[in-house]
Amino acid sequence: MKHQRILFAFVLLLTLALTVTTQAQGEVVVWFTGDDTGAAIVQEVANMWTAQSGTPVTVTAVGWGDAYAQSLAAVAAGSGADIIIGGMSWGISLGNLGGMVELSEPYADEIAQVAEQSNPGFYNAILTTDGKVFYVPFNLDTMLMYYNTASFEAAGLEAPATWDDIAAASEAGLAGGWSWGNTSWLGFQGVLKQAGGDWYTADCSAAAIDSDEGLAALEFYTALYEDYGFPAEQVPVADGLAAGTVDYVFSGEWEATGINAAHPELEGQWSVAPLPAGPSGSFNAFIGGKGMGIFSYSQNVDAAFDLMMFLSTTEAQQALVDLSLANANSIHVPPQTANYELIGGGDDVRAALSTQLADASGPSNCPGWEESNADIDLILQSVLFEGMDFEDALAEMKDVLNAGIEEFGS
Amino acid sequence: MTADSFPISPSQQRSPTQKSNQLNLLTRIWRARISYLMLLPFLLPFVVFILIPLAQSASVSLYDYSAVASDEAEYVGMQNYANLLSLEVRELPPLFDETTGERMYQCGRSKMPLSEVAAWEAAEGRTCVLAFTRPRDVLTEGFSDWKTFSLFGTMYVLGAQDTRFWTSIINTFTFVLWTVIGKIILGLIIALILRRQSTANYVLRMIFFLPSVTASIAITVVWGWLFKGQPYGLINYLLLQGGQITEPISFLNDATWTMPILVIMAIWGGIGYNMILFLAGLQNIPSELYEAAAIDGAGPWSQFRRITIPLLRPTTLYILITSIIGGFQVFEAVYILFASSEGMGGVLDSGLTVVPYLYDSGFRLFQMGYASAIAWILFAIIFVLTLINLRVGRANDAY
Repeated sequence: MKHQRILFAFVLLLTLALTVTTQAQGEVVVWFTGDDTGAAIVQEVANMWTAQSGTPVTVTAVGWGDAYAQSLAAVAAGSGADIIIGGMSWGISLGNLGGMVELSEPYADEIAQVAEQSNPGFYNAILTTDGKVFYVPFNLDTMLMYYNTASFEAAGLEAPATWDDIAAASEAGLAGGWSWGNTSWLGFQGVLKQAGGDWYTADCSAAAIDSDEGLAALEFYTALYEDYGFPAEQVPVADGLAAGTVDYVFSGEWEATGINAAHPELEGQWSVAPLPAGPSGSFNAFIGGKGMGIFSYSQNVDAAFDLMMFLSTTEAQQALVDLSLANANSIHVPPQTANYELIGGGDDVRAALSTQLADASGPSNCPGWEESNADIDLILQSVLFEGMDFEDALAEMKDVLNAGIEEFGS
Repeated sequence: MTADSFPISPSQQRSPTQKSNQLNLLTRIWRARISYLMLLPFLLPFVVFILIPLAQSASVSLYDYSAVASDEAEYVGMQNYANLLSLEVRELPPLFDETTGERMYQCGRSKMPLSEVAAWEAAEGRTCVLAFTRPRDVLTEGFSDWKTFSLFGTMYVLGAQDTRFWTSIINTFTFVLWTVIGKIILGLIIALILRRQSTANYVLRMIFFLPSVTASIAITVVWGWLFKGQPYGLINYLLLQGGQITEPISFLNDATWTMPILVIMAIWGGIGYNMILFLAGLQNIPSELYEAAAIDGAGPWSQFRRITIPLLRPTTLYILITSIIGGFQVFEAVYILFASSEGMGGVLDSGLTVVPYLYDSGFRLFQMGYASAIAWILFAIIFVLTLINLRVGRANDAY
């Protein structure tokens, strides 16, 4: 496969020539997955580290659509940035391919501290099943419930706090919907965990979806669409609340700062809360976000790790929170539990986020999950749109997940 | 006897004419060196960016290859192709209650024995159907159920190792069939309507041609807004205002609408280009033929059938082949409209075509060998269809 590597490297060099400026000696280069505004914010915070360390940093924005492919190409060619700030699952996938520096051995003390301070849901999602760490958390994203306060007041109801409350809201004629993760595993995962179930056993040795909790989750998830009128399509939060097509929507925390900007007439008419709890008492939501990792070819591993540790400090996180709000009207959610108090966007948003983040889970880190989730989506959609038998669906999911473990497990 | 002592066979002996021909060839190349040199700016990128990657792709398709960990690439021979193309048919046995031995029925989302069916049907007002063994239980390990069908009273399951690939193939053929027919027929009709030279026709031609020169991404985003499944989606809004519907239709999340939407978008975007080609073809038909036919008493339909259609055959064949190739390569529309957290091909993969599936395999899961195998299967399909088109076109070339 030598020829393929040469070809890949050749194509990469052409690509990199267009995207990367020449790296100065000792400079740390960061690829930030997102837009130019986000990269400029990270650059400004990184400059604070440069002032302390004397090491220059260049932060370049890479679009979400290109970042993972560009990272792979960089690893194949052994040339590119030192650090990638990108999707939470990329650390494990790039790391397992040999593209990222494993951090827990050379920086055992620091990584132990990161583990202790980080949101457990996020940290578990970036930890491999054999305990390797390729990523340090950068920020968090999670799901919240946005609701029209006037609608619920008029119906004499509180915002839904349990599955039963959703049934009551539906009976009162209040409409709900998903804006992120509907008809897919991403939305179902929260429901599954609210029921007390999970995709796999704790040690990832087998699928655990065909449980009573899994059945309860699937029944409730289907009821959302069939009985409680959730639309199959994603509902834009601000537009949906403004148009009155929905009274409550499940979506990401990034919506919080956009609602009033898009529809000033909604100011004071909406609020935000954690997701409703299931029979287990859990109100679990999907958690995502970005992590930071060092490419295995980097010549500046120690400096890069030092920069990542700086970006994890309260000082840097405070700057990221402030600059994100001021420059991009967006909420930066710090990944350290102690830093939740820094969250901007208002007291209600901070309170809802802090509560939700205490019960949130990322995508499974079990082997084969990434390859199986498209089939899980198809099974969920067969249940919702083709009337598939619940028990057959759970048996199918179990087979798919177990096949993934068998094929991709060590 | 040494190698040197072998006599030279007659075939190895070069005749003076052959030597002269070879000399002539070299001389010809040397004399045309400027021409070849001027070809280089095209030839070099063509070889580097087309031919070599093609050869590499063919080679990669024989490996389990992730692009990054290339040292771990494993030669798997034709396994990628086998995984993609393998199908099997198995009979689905009826399902019986394990304790009572009663025949089981599927009632809504529950299975129940025959003795409970009548009560359920009376309570629910719905009908139960016979229940069968779960397809995965009868299929060979590694196969999943793709389709179930009944034949002569027996239920069968068609299993595939990669059901998503077969779904993408069927979707692609459906897309190609309808878009090619639509674009050719509508393109020809519009060309016939606008064939006369007039200012109004020039303006209308330009309007019809505009989608062909507009960025396909922008067009798809606009169509996405038109088909939004909310009351404020333009088509839903008009239907609601007109009273045709009472609830908005979830166009983009309804498997029955996915393919029609893709076809409508492709036809709308493609008829203008075909119209221009047909107009050029129509203008090449000598008007004397129509005049002679009219003198002989041929009506407009007869003229169209006997003169226009046959003499447009080269144009039609060109449009047919390019439309088929373009149809099989559809990507942007599917990706922009349907690729999201709900998957690459929309709900139930109803919009998944081959190229987006190739992209998903290659650039989400980084199964580069597998994705390359998909690309070569796609190439083979297009190649065979193009050959058939050319052969059929030539066989009917009586004019």
